[in-house]
Amino acid sequence: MSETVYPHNYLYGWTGIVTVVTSIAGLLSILRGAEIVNGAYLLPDIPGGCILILLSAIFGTAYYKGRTDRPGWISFSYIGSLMLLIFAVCTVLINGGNYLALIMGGEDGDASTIISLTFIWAAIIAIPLYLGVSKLMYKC
Amino acid sequence: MNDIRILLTGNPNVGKTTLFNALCGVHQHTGNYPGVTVDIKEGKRHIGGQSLIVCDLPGTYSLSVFTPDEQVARDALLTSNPDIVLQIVDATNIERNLFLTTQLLELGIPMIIALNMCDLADEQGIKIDSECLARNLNVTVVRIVARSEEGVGELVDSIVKLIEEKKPVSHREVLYPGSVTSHINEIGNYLGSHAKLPGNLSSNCAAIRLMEGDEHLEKTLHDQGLVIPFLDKCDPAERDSIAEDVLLARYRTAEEIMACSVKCTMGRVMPADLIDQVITHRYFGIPIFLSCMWFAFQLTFSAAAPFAAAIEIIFGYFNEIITGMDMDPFIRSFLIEGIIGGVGSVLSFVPSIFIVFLLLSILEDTGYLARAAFVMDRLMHSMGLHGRSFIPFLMGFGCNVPAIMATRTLQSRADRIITILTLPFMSCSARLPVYVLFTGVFFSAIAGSVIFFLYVLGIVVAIVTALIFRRYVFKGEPSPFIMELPPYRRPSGTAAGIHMWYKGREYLKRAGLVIFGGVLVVWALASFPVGVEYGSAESLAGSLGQLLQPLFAPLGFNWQLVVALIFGFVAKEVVVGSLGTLYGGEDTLHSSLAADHTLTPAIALAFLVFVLLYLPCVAALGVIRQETGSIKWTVIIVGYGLFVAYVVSFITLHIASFITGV
Repeated sequence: MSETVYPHNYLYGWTGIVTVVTSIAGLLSILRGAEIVNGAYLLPDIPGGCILILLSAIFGTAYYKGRTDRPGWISFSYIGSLMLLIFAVCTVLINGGNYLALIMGGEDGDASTIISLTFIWAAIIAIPLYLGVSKLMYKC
Repeated sequence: MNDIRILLTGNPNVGKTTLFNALCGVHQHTGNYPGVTVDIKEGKRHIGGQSLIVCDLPGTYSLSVFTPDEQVARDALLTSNPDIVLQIVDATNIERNLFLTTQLLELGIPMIIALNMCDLADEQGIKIDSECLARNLNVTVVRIVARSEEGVGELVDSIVKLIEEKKPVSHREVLYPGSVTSHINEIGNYLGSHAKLPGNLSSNCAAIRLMEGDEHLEKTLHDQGLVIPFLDKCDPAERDSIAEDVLLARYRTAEEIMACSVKCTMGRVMPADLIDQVITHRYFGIPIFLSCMWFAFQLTFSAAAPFAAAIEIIFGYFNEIITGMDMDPFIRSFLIEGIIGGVGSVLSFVPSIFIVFLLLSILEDTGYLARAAFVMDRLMHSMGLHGRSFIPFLMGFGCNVPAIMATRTLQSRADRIITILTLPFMSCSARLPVYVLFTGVFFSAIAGSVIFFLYVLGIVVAIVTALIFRRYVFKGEPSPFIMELPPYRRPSGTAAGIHMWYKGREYLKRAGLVIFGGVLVVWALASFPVGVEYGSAESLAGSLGQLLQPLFAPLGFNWQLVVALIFGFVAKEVVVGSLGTLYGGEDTLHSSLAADHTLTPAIALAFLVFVLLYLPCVAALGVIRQETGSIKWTVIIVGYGLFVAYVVSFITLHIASFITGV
């Protein structure tokens, strides 16, 4: 392990950014779900918000571990970003399914709801992290 | 035509059933966790003038048995006189698998080793010299990848060749310490002249089995009135010490074989270990599992919605055609209310069933579900359940029948009975259409979350039940949980698709037989006596429902719901079919339920809770009777389920009414 240089400060820093982004996104989803705040690109989603908070805790642990335990931060960062990406794809499928069902039932649907969830925006930010960390996973 | 009888054996989760499917061209359920096979499955493959009869045995780590499924494997190996024993060995964990090999070699039956998952071994840098392995064991070794059927043809050729050669069996022998060998000879000689041994078991092999502590064989011999030399005079400590000597000799042999045939890069941190750091984390493990399940149920509801809508549109189209046709009103009623209303409403939930099985199959394939069992163990143990019970619980989300059979992997009878008792509270796929229907009508904005709540409620009730029975009936701690974590694998789209298709097809078959039959009966009850309005309170169904409805009045159920519950006992799918028939007509069941003013969201939720918790279906009851071996426990399970369903539904109704204000 000592042979591997530690050139991944950018990814480590990016983990910190994703931690902040997911926690804010989660918090906003919960607050919107509880009808405390409103926003054009936010849908009320309390369970989804809780999951984002969980993911931010995983990223936060990765960031914290980064100081002492390198394989540890990589695995937390990897699993966190992988889950975020999978859940974002699931969100698109869920909202896409709901939208299609509405259209087929003869009702009006808003296509923008398919991509307006906080999960998707958070996942877009996590893509570079996933790509970088997944390479590291197989080198430690 | 000659039959070649092959016993397929090996450690749990090494790919026995996958190879069985590849050999016989069948599609038995496989999974990336131990304990999927609990009884013997038999399949056939024809080659030229010969038939290979392949028996897939439950996985076992050794011939010393601890659980009923291991007993099944051990009995088959020792007593069924196969032509060949085919051991599947996990190439990524060869040393552990070789322990069983050393026992199988001593049976004196022609043997072949199929070295499975060679692709994964290559990926992990494990280099296996299969020729050296074959020389060392004096057994044919074939490299295969059962998932992609690579090497299966060569394996079949080797089987046929081994049979045709008819060479005397001379496998590698395990070298036991001198003192043990002399006792083996003494006991072996005695058994050779006095005992009637099961199957073709040699007296020498029987002696080794006895030295290893095979209680079943010992009992068989004692039942013949024999006094086993040396062993019957030993004190327990001495016997343990001998069994340990035998054990160490086996491990030494396995190590020797490993040393010359396997080379691997040691000391490397594997990605699986890093992933497990998070997935099985003390604090994150359970929330991660719950998050995955929540998304799975959201997907089940939402991603299936367009397909369900399409099926409803098609049946609506049929409805219009039949309405416009000139035919006998009685036949029209049968077609519209009976067939389209009943079977059609059940079929519209087929997409949800397909998606559930697809998702479960993907989670299984990746190796995640086994980790989930590990994560849940601490919680389950503290609740009086065995960690291994989690596997039957997971299977219970598909169907309770195989899940109840999977409790055979549990060692103690108390753990088995408690798990069987709690399994009917797991939401099987047959209940899903009822959930999807009612949540779609009464909770459309939060349908996925309500379905998730029902699944969680089932688990909570199961845990509380386990706590009660562990505390008052089966006192004591559950036995410890040891489970081998399977490797992580990239899920195969084809395998997941096949699994989904076969499970979905099963559901469709049920829709065609049981559900159609049930719906037919409900339609007849709703149509007779002649002259009454279809599905009215004056019909037979109405009379039956009204007779029993007072019992359910505290729960707010109308008579239609009561009739659906009665027929749901046959199979849970019939609940939706019955409602479709009873509410049948020109509107879809969805809109008919929405228009029924006797139903509120609170009553709908109470009904869903009742469907979740009340009786298991007839098939599940039959298996419960078989696995518990007791009518008493079967009756207790029925009575307890009804009681719990009534009480929890009642509480749900009042809490939901309080929250919604209706």
